Amino acid sequence: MRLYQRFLLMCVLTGLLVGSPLGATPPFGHPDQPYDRLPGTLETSHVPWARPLSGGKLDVLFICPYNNSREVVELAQRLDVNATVIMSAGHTGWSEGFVEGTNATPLQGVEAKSVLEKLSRQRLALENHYDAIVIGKLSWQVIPAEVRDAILAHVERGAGLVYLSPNRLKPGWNRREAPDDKDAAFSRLFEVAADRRTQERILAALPIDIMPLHSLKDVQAYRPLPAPRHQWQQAGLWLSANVHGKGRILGIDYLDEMIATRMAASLTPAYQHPRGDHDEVIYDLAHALLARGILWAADRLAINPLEISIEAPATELKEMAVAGSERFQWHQATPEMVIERVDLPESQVIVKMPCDPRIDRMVLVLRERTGHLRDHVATEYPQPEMTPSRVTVRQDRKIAPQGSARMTLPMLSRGTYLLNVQALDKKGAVVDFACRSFRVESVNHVTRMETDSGHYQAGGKIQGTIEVAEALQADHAVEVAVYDMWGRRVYTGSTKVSGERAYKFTVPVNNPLSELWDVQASIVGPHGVVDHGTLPVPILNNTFDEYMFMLIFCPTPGQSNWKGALHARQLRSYGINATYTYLIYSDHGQYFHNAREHLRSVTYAEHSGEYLSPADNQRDFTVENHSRDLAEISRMLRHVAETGEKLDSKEFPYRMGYFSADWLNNRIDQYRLAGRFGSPFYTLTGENYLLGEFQGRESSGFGKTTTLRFQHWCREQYQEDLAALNREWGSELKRWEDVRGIMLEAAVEEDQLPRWVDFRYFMRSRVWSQFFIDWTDMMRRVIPNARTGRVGHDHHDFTRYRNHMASSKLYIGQEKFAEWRHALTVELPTSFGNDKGFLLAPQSMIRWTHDLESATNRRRWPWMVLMMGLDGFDWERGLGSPTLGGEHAFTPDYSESLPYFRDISDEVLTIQRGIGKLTMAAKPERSRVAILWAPYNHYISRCLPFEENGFSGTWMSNVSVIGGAVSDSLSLLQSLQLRPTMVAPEDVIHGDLERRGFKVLVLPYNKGMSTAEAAAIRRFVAAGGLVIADNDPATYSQHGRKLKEPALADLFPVTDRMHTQAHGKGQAIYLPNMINGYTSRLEKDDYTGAEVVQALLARYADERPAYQLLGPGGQPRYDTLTRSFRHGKTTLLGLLRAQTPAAEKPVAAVLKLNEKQHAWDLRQAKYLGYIDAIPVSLDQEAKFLALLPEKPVSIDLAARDPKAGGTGLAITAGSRLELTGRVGFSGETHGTDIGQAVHCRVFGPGGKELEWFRQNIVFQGATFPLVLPLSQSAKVGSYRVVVEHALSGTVGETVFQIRKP
Amino acid sequence: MLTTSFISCVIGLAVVGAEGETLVVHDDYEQWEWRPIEFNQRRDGRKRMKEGRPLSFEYRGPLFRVAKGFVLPTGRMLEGTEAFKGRSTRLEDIEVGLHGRYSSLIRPGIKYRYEVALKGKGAFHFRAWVGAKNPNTGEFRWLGFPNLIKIEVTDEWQVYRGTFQTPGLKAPGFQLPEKVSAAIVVEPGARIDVDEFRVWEIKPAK
Repeated sequence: MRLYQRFLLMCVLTGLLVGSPLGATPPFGHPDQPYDRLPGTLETSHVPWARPLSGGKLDVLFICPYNNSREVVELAQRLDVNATVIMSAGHTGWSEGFVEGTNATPLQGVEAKSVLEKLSRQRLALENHYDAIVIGKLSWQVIPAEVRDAILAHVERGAGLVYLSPNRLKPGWNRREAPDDKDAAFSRLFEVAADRRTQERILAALPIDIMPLHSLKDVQAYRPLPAPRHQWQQAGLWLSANVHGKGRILGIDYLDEMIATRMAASLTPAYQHPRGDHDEVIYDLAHALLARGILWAADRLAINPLEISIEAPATELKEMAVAGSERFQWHQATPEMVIERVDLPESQVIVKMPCDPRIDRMVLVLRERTGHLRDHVATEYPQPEMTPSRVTVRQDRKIAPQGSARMTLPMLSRGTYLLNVQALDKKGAVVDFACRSFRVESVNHVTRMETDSGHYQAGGKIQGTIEVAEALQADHAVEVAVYDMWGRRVYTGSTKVSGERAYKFTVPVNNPLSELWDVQASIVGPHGVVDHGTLPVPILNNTFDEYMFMLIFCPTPGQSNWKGALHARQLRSYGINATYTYLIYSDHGQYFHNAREHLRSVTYAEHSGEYLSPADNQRDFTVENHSRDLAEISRMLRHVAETGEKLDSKEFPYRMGYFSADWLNNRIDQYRLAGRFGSPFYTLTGENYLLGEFQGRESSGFGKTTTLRFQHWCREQYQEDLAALNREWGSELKRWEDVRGIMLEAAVEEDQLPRWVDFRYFMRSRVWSQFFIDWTDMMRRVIPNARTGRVGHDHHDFTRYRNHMASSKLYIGQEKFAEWRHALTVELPTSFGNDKGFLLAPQSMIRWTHDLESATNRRRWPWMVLMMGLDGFDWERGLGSPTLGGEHAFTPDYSESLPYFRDISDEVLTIQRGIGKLTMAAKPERSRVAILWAPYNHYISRCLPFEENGFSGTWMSNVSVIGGAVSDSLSLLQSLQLRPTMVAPEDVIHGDLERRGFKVLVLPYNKGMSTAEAAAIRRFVAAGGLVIADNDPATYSQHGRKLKEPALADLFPVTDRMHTQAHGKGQAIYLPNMINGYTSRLEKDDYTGAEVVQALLARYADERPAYQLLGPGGQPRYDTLTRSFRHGKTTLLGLLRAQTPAAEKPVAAVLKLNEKQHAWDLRQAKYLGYIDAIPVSLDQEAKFLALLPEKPVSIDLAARDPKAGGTGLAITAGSRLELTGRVGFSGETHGTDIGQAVHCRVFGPGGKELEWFRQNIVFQGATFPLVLPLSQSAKVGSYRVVVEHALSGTVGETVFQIRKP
Repeated sequence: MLTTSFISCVIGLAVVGAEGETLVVHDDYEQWEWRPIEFNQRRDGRKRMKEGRPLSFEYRGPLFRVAKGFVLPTGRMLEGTEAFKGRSTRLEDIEVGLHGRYSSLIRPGIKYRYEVALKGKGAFHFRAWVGAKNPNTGEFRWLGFPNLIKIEVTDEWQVYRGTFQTPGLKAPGFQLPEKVSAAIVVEPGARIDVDEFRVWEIKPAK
């Protein structure tokens, strides 16, 4: 919610919020403040190159940015160090990092400065002795002078100093400007080239040939590649060395200081594999390089290196370069040593130990360099989970100093391999280490893989072709294996010859458990696999029925180097199950990465609107804009939607910023690709607007097509009567062709405000909202049934979003009373979208908002989201920005989650065990009360700035429609435990009130009203309906002209006090000062109006809540949001007490039901009895109850067809186990039509849960199916299936065996 | 030291200051524009109307009229015989210029010269908002709101001239900013017509 934040900032700047010193919330030292906390207990994939270290641990001080401080832990996994850390705000910020507002979570201002000053002083005090100090790419200029002096004082007396990418970038967070001057002292310290001997000692032991580093002999020779320096471009490598006093200084210059912050790289080179995968092998080797640098600086690096050499026949073969890779590579990162596969039996590895008396034995590991792609090849060697590649051979040998060892290479398939050697002392500690790369090449190899479709669906068949370089020998074959993203082998099969070098295959898509399958083709011969290729194939899954907890604007898989994958993996166990995905940048790789990490993709498709660049914010909004013609773009979109054809740029030559026919054609291609994966909805716009709208000075709508459409719309509105238009507008237009929009200032000066009302309503409804309807229909041409929506404010004509734009991320929460203040934000899309959209709420770690500031609030939030009718919420940030602390759910090394996050996560995980899915599948219960929402009133209301209550009422009321009288009426009805439905003028006119069974119509703000609307309302009352109104209904025309006589004067003859007017069979009640201000009264425990309205509804419409919440004396409670959902005969009921001052104390209340039900408190997992009055201790905690007419007491699981499983429940790997669950009810009833959910889990032979089988099943009645597709690679043994009833907590279990084939 | 004085004058005013003076305020209220009424203005306006207080500006629909160069209301525009020269402004129950125009304008301890044409009933104030910050804790504190100019006006246009200086407001540990903000203040019940308001910063003698 950046605009809210901007508003807060504005308040600070204008002096509205002054008086408090700036600091972090929570402050330094608080358990929820992650700054300066590095437990280091989370282990990730690594090779322990120098751990344990012969001679003992090194004491090392690291100075690096907070958000990359995990890299210290990464280094410590590989080099035996006692690490002390000083965390800065960023590479170019010391204590001043990014913060948003006064309640930002990072440290800021005086606190930031004083904390960092204190920590630096303590940790750099000369009482401390460090073997080395490491600076992680911070600008030397940014480090305060006293800190620099202290660092050099340590070096002077003997500590080593290692400076990664030494630089003097100008200070200022996220700044990337080179210094204007030279600094002689800096040059002396960090710009003297290391001599050859030093370079060799550090680098020769490493496979620099496969590292994406451009080694430089002369740093001045460095030139960036011509292509834009992007995240995956190779870094440089240049070593500097010098001494300062008794200490050594080493500069490891990756020449990447300009981009390192983007790649979360402070101790490693800025690099990401072009495919986006985190290249764990290269990352590991980069730490090995740093480890050697630190050892050298601390004078602990073995003087004579161990040597690895390979003897093999020469070959001309070499790895093929990837086409186009030269754009971002100085060289192809492939081994210099190449062995032809057929020569492997004649090839040997020779390891020579140096003359070092400590050496006792050596460990040699041969591993395949997979690293950036999953490798599913089975191996006979155990794969240590923490090793960043696949181990092929491991040998532990006794060896003497200066001794040598030989190893004949085994038969290997085509690929790149690494040989790690560690020389160990008698205690097993590392004396030295080295790594050597080599390549195995084969003349024949897989050259191409192709499938007949871009994606498949369950039940379909993947058909494809594999091509190889040469015709196969007689004893060779091409085989296919398929692996899902859980690493399960789900298919193996042969291929059919289809030409000299081509082979065809078919794979059935049965019971997929991931959104992506890796289809692997292997050339297999007598000596194993010659070569294999892998093709990832999307398996479309468009089911989104689980409570969503989505990552947004944070590190995600495929981005941010090491941080992206780690962030997702760590958060997933806390309930994160989706991530916002950048189709807007055509980043299709992200869909694949999400699928690999088991995250659903929610697509950020476009940021459409009239603001197309930052410069648009600076436009002069006092003059008409003729270049923005959104209706013309709409026309282009509609053309595609109707014809399914791409646009001809000659027929549609219009350009608006980047929008053009060609651009839209490209977007269609992108949508087609995006359609390979599921998305609950596609965001078409964010915080984007019509020009000037945000400033209250709308300036667009004067383009040619827009004007033509406005003329057409006016002719319809005024039924071809130009005189009628002139009467409304106060204009003297002679021809329809003269009709056009008007700027607000002109409307004021020419006294034509109705013209402006018409124009702006037209722009919002028929241009802006129509634009997104057209866009949706265009998108649906390539993604059938795509749901669309927005991330942003409520400035749309929601009456038009019945089947379009009804899904969204809604801006609710992050402040007190959100369930009341923001209720309309949810009610508009759900009412008009018929509760069919997919809706998310926003949540963020950027600021310490109301939702985070207490444990109660944190526990309330996920339930509030569910109760309000949303399908989950997102989770923004996480070590993304250069900050000094904050903005994270973990300690910065991801070792420990923070208590505040666990509070939220615990509730999410509870909801995700079936309650959420059942609630989302249930139908929200609504009352027979409708509220008339007529959006032209927004503009009429804007013309009445000092009226009692507006149509809208927040600080954004020029733009957003929430917060005014309509919101107040919604709050009042919520107070009465009634959920109303919003209806539009056209619904009322077309008789929807009667057709849909509404008994009551509320007119909270309907000053503007058409004669047709007024007539329909009159008919509704005459037929027996009840109408309740405030704010002078029908006193203006729908165009904003003040009427001489209100159009509903007969229904509301008295408007200065409460008045009931009988009309036909019904009643019309004018009710001043009951609706207006209700939300703010409620917040102060003043419920004036509720009792009156409750009595009127009961008396005249017999409208009462289905579930009455009563106080101890039987009086109704008005302070609690009550929401109910029905699934068959099951009711799910949520209660959320408003956090008013009175809510500080719990109060005893009773929830009255219409009939006896079996009731459960789902949050407490407690059966409450078979009752019709539920005692409730009403505190601030959310309550979520289940009400069932029958009581589930048992669950039995049995094979659907016992014969299929053989004896008992025994089955072979690769087959499908079909179970039937049977719920037993007390009294042996049948549970007919009773909606339920069960949470199913399966545990493998080792007792570990097999996550891929975890699922929630929603059903009605007594039975449910449970299907477990077992992979071919499933282990033989005993498996346990546990099924828990999500409502009653009843558990059923069974066991099955996977037998040997 | 706060000083005010006036000299009756009904003829034109000198725009150019003496040597060593810098013109820091020059408001002649000749140019006016229509601008959107902001949320806070709407809220405050509703409150005023409920209290029976008049709005201090002219509005039509969602726009209000304001002298160019100001962010927030500057009273009601006067023209013709009601104006002092060209156009003037009528101020009632209002603070003018605190945000934007006179924000961070006055240097504490520096002497200023002013002249202003006034007419009406009640007192014209040019008031400073003096706040300071503790550099060690970041705490902000208001130290006072002294009137730099206070003039009881008559029902005839008169030009008032004088000098002023911000009084020495202090709080231990707090630092004044380089410049403080100020505003024209017309209290409820008063009605002041204003024109040709000028303030010069006087260069301190060496």
